[in-house]
Amino acid sequence: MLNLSKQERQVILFLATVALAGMGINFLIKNFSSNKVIACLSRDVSKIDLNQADKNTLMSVRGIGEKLARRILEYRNQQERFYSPEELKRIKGITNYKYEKIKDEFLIR
Amino acid sequence: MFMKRPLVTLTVIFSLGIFSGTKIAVSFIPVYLLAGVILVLSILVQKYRFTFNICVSFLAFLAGIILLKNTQYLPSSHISKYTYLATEKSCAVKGFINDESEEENNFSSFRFNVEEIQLGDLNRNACGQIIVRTKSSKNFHYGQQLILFGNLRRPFSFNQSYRDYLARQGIWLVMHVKSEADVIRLNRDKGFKIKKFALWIKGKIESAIFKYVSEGAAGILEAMILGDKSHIPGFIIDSMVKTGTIHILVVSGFNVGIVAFMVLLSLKLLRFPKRIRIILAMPLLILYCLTTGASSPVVRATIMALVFMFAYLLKREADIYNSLALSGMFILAIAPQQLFDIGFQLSFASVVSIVWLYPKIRKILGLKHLKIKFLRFTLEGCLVSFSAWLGTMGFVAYYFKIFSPITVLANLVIVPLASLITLCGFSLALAGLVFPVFAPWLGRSNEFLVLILISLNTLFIKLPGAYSYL
Repeated sequence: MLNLSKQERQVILFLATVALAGMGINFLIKNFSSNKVIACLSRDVSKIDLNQADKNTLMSVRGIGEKLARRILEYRNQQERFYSPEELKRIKGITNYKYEKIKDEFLIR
Repeated sequence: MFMKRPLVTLTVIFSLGIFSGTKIAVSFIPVYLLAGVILVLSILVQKYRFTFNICVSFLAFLAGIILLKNTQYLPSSHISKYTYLATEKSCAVKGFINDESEEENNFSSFRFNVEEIQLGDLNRNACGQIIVRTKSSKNFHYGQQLILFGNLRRPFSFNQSYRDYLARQGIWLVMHVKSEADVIRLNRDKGFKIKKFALWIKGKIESAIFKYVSEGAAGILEAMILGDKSHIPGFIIDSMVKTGTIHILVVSGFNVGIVAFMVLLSLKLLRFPKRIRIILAMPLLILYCLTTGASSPVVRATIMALVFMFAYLLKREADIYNSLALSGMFILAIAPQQLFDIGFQLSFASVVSIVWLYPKIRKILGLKHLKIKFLRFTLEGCLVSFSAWLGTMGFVAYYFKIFSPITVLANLVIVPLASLITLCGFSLALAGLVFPVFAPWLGRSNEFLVLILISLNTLFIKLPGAYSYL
């Protein structure tokens, strides 16, 4: 069937070994490659978490002074947490106009 | 035949392995381990011819299965894993253009190598190819790095065959990009420099053809010389399928032969020794292969030509069966799915039938003893055409559902004419690049020849019993 000399057999075996090793390595690379997260492009990076912020952090927002910051913290303690930034409208001193100005500074995690 | 040509036997067994891999539901690891055991056994029994032959044959069979399973196994970061995104959800992908872009009706379409995908706020690494379709007026080129915003979808098809065709090429998703505003062009290029150079040459030849020849004829010339059928009207392709002469619009062995002939002749005129001519011609043939898109017929013909050239350099006798087997092994080792590609099947079937069947029929008919040269030449031409038709008839009937008895007669007339057009077309391309003074005259000649080709083809279709649909 295959009329091969000794040298030809050795060449075939060498090529077969190299090819088989290569296929095995290729399979292992594919098998162990992971779907990595390489960057988090969150647009929320500079926003303040309403449920974590302390008084000074709240006061860093333009339009929120010491009294308003204290009221926000009191509301949060009473309700245990904010579920939506819209709940700020329920706090005394935050009108619809003021809410529209500050709402983009906050997020809820 | 097979005793003296072990490569042919191994290639056939390897192909059977690939075919069996599609029918056998087995994963990569067990087959790989079995192949490892057989390899060790082969090393141990290499002194015993019969046992060694059995082991190597079995190893070749398993190698076909392993290779197929390996190409079908995709990493977790492969873009096809995101088929769940194939809804209206928009996403962003970053990568580079992996091929020439095609322009049609103000839409551009190209293959895109994905490197990163953005889903929501997270950027993930990714790999694999997608097809991108965009309505953009600006040009795209090979290697261009882009960030694209659009919708990923599974390819739309009326039947499963188009999706299967794309899947065989490693494409599972299509991205629709609405406008230029959704394309960010990065100022970096990737891709292979040699492929860029080959595509640059292709662009120059295309410009030369379209400058000196009218659009209809230029489309046919472009197909014959560069393998690009995108500018040929559909009715011409349809008429050539009916007469069985569509193969003249595919770049194959004849074109590679012309390029080799022209290069060798030019170098001979420059008084280069034969060995140097052959050494210089080899990279040019590879460059031509890349210029025409490296399809299976061109790769087959290029490898066969390189084998013959190497044989001359090494002072060995070249064997056509071995060179054919080597080209088949080469193509399938890189892309085992090519075994199921119609271009691959037709290319190899036609060459095998010409090489094997033609001498046998010629011997039976005793053409060697025919004294009238013109008659012998004509009959031999008919026989070549008939042999190729016999070898490809089954494939054509299966894929195109058509039976064309007119093929033999049509090829007898059209193939020599197509050969002349190809020669003139190459001359036009060369003149357009180097001697533009002669290009307009060559352009007119080309147009005239193409007109005769189309007219003859139309005439053949109208003959009674020329073709029938199955």
